[in-house]
Amino acid sequence: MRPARDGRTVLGMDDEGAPDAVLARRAALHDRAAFRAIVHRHGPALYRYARRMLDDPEDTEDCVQEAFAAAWTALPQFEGRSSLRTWLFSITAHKVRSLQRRRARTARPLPFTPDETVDPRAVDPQRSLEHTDLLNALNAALRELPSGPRSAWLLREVEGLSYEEIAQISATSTSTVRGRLHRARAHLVTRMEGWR
Amino acid sequence: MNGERILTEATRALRAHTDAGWIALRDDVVAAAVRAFRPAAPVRGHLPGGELWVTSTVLVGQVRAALDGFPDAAALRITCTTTPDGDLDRLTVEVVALYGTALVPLATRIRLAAADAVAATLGTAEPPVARVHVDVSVGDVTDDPSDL
Repeated sequence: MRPARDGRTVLGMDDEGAPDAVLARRAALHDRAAFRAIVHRHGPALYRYARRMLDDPEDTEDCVQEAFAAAWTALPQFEGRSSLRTWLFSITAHKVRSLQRRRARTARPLPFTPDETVDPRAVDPQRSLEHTDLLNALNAALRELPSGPRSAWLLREVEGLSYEEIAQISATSTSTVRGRLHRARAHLVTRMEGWR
Repeated sequence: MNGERILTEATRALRAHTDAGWIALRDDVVAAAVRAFRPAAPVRGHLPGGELWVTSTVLVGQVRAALDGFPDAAALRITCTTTPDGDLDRLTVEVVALYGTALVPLATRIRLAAADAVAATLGTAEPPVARVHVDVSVGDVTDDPSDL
């Protein structure tokens, strides 16, 4: 919220409700509150994506930390040619690929560590348990996919990005994105068929 | 068919899901990110007993903050140039203005507020309006106050 010079509160200037373009502009001019609003708005999606691409909580933390640090550094050069959300996903996807390459060199095993448990405060514990099981089943099915189809499916079906945005983020063509989505969807439908 | 239905349900659940790991991490993310280095030039200020050096990003942030309270304009870009000795030579403030705002008086207010912020940041006793050249440029006009 920005105080006006005469002491009034300027309506509609609440950082949490401000448009992305305004937050990006303010954060580029060293406004930490605007950057915090960006992190709170887009962090959950970026973390959700990185977590399922990397299958490891520590790598996910490193990835998201590094992605936001890179965003803070690069925001003065952000020109708004893509949306802020697509730009942040591009940075995160780049960090994911770097971590995957680093991990391939050191040949670390990749046990998926589910960190979701039944919420003890849930009104309907049975429903919460089913919900958790469903998410765990989807996570397991996603883990079986190669990185490209997995990324395309997450960005399209979960995060709602367009084919063009996914192609830009993945540094590939829209036809490749289509192929990856088709492959991912066929695999996931088959695997989820067996749930319960 | 059953697989498609279950996948649709699972996708919807994942879309609405926030990982517990993110909740634990989010405040640390902000604190760590804003410590990351932004390329910046040193700018020389003056104190009674000596010199004060601040980075251009700090100066830009102070000028932006000085303009935050304007109900009819907001900073789009702020740049500064320095002399070979590190003294502030020129400040350029590009703004977006609310449609209908009289631009010449607005530019004067921006110039004074920017000069005040420079003076407060660099330790000069008087706002250096005469010494520091503040250029104001209206880069955009909007009829939507939420764009400011």
